[in-house]
Amino acid sequence: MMDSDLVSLWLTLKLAGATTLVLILLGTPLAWWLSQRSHSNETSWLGNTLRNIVEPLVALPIVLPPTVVGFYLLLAFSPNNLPGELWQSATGTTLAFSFYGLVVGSTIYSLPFYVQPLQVAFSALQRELIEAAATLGASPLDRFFSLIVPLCRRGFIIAICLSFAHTVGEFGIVLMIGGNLPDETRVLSIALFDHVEALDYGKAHVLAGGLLGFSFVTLFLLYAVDRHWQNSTRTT
Amino acid sequence: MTSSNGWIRRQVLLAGILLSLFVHPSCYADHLRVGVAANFRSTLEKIASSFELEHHTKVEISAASTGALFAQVKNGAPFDILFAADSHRPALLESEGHTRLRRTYAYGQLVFWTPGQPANETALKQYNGTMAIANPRHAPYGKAATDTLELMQVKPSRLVYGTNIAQAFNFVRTGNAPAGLVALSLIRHLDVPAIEVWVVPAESYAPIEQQLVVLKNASSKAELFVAYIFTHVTTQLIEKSGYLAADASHHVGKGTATIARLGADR
Repeated sequence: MMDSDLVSLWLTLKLAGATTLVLILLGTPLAWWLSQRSHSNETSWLGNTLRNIVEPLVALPIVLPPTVVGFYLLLAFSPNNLPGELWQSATGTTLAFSFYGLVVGSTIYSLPFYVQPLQVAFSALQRELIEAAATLGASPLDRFFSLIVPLCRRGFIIAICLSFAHTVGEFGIVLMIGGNLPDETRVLSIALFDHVEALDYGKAHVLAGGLLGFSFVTLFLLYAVDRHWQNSTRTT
Repeated sequence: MTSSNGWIRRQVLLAGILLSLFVHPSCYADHLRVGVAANFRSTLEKIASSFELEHHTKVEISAASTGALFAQVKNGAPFDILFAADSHRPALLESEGHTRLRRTYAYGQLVFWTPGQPANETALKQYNGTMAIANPRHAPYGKAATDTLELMQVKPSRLVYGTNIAQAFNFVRTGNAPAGLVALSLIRHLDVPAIEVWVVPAESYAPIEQQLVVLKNASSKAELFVAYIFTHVTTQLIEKSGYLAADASHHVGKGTATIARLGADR
């Protein structure tokens, strides 16, 4: 592996880590809110309607080509348009061609991979358990960390692993908004694309094989952990 | 000519049309598949549509970067002709025995473009912001751009790379990069105001020699299309689109005689 590929590797891990962190902070409350669908139609008509709109919005990146997201982000990041203008007046730089721009893109791109498994886990929680904890005097924060998180650990692990791996595998959006800057936006998938374009198949094989191996191992471990927990919940 | 002759021809034509319904498009002789580098796409589309009218041969155009097209051809993509953005990869395809004709069809021209600002030599030399160029590692316009920056000692604060020249152009067009070194052909295609554009003198970079290759298993119509590229009308269109036309003496490779003959037939 070349030095520049190592830089790309580190950058990719940094991007996937930062994106996953942002998703934990933003996606967790979102998944919780989505899971709180009320079944008494009259009391929470507005909340349910909002959920009906937000739920497909969250799922959009699964079906949209990354080029759609990339194209709109390119326009949004432009200092000629409001979001890009605000960012530029605040930071003096553009969001396009920057690490932060990629974090924004990756967060959108990996959002369903974080929110959906977690939403499923939250929906499966037994409400009586949480209500019991509340009557025993546990604060909402306490209930969340000492009850909900442990009960939903399987959902959390799947959500975190999938969004991390999915960000590592991101290509289309980065290609459209990244500008191929070493140290900043040239992630592994872009470096691989460069090697192929430059007809350097030797280096391309190293990266392609590495990414394939990483993805397989991640999914293998994920399934193994999942099997283990399913068995342990069945026995307890 | 008798009328029965005409009748037979109509019958044969009808049979041909019926038969063609059962034949996969790639086997269909009156159909050219052409791969083209991003910078020449819009020009080629114009050429192809007038060729289609004159010769009743459909031309199907796929645009991609030269590197991507190269990889596709090496792995069996069913192209008849490839319009590359350089001469290096066509020569490589030829040396590997994938082609039956190679020829220079145009020379690309590099321009400095700063939307909303007057562009000229001084503006380029003093430019120190973000600049969009094509990736110099594999895009010919990117190499020409780095040649120019080095020669003119321009020091942009940040160089952002487009995969190909069209992407570098889009970075500037969307306003994400305030300036770029891009292809004149793209500028012409979009009617950019002349004041924002400065054509970099050709001496500043190694020539962007754009070559085409006819692939080994191409349809026999491929040479006809190539001959069409070198007709006077088409050459003028290519020049108007922002290229320097290829000198007729620049042709290389075998098959040149065929081209000369086809050209003379017209």
